[in-house]
Amino acid sequence: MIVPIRIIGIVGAICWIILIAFSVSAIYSMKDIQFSLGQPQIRIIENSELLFSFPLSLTNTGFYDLRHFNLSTGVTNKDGTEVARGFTLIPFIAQGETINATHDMKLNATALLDSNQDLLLNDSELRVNETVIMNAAEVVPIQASSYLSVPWGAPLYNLMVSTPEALVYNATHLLTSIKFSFENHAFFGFTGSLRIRMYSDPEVPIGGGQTTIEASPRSPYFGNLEIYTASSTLSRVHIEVLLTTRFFKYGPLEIFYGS
Amino acid sequence: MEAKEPINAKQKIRKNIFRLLKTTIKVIIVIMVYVLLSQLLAPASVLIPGLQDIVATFLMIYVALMVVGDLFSGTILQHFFSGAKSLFVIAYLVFSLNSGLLDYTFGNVNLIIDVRVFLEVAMLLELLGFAKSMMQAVNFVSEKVELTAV
Repeated sequence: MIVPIRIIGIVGAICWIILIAFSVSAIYSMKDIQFSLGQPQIRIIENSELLFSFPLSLTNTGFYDLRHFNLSTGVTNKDGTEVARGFTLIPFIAQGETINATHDMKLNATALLDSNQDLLLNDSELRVNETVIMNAAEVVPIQASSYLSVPWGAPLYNLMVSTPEALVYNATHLLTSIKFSFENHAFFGFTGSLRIRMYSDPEVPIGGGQTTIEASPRSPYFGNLEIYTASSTLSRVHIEVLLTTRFFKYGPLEIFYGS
Repeated sequence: MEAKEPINAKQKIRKNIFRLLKTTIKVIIVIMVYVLLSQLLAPASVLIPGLQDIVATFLMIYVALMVVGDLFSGTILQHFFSGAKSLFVIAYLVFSLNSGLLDYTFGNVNLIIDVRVFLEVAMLLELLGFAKSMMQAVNFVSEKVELTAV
């Protein structure tokens, strides 16, 4: 019985040494895994979707290979509804290797702004969830997740429409000028059309016009629309403002003038 | 009879000194391994709070059981302490490693490390160690019985 007991002892000791050496070296080599996400490039793709491309760099100078590196990012609005998701899988990163990849995330701006109209006018915050899953030393699954808040800039921040200013155009018509302005706080620029319809008090259309707007990202926009209306109809009017762009529709915004 | 007693006492003292020396060397080796491991684990201690405490507590109890076992060497108690050491290691690993799923939160970062594979292998090895201790105890008793019979 002595021999099997000794064999068990020796085998157990060898296995323990291997297990401890592997565990310690696996933990030690985790500090040599470097992962970074760079600043995103933003492109507009089909269906008015915004594509965020993050340069991703992963360096493994540890003792072991990495498997199944999986990065997923999700963007949710204030209600917790997911508005964007990105997913990148790198199946294998050999020891001593640096991988450069791109992590893509699509944001459907139309869907986001349709369901959250207040995001058009008010700056807000979106929550970005990041999750990294990988098999360190090939057999030790690790999951790290974090979240951060990113500011959302409203594309129509501080939208203002001035009181119509009428000038006599001829004996029968007036030339009415309506100034409008907003600040595009969004990270994307947009083009679209702004349509204004003018009504006299009992819902009778008295004029209308349309203009093209081109708003650059993070900049103010000032515009002016001139509308011909029949004379003596401006004592008590209301207007309807409708803005249509590739990414969103806003309106009709009704503004009443006169007493 | 009188001539034999001093030799037995001398032998016993020598045996005890040898046993103490062996235990001391074992403890020194374990402490040296701990010092080496703690330096290697230092980067992970930043990530895993309390790792040093877990390892230190484990080591203290492990060394205590090892010393007690060695002091009782040559008796059946040695094998029971050895078995108890194996069971302690299994229980301590299960509790300290949270059944193999380590979950830590640092600010807004949540980290989950799945060490179930390590835990399973360690438990199997300790069960093997426990079986070895039981076999040693059985062997010890059977040798005693044989000697008494002779």
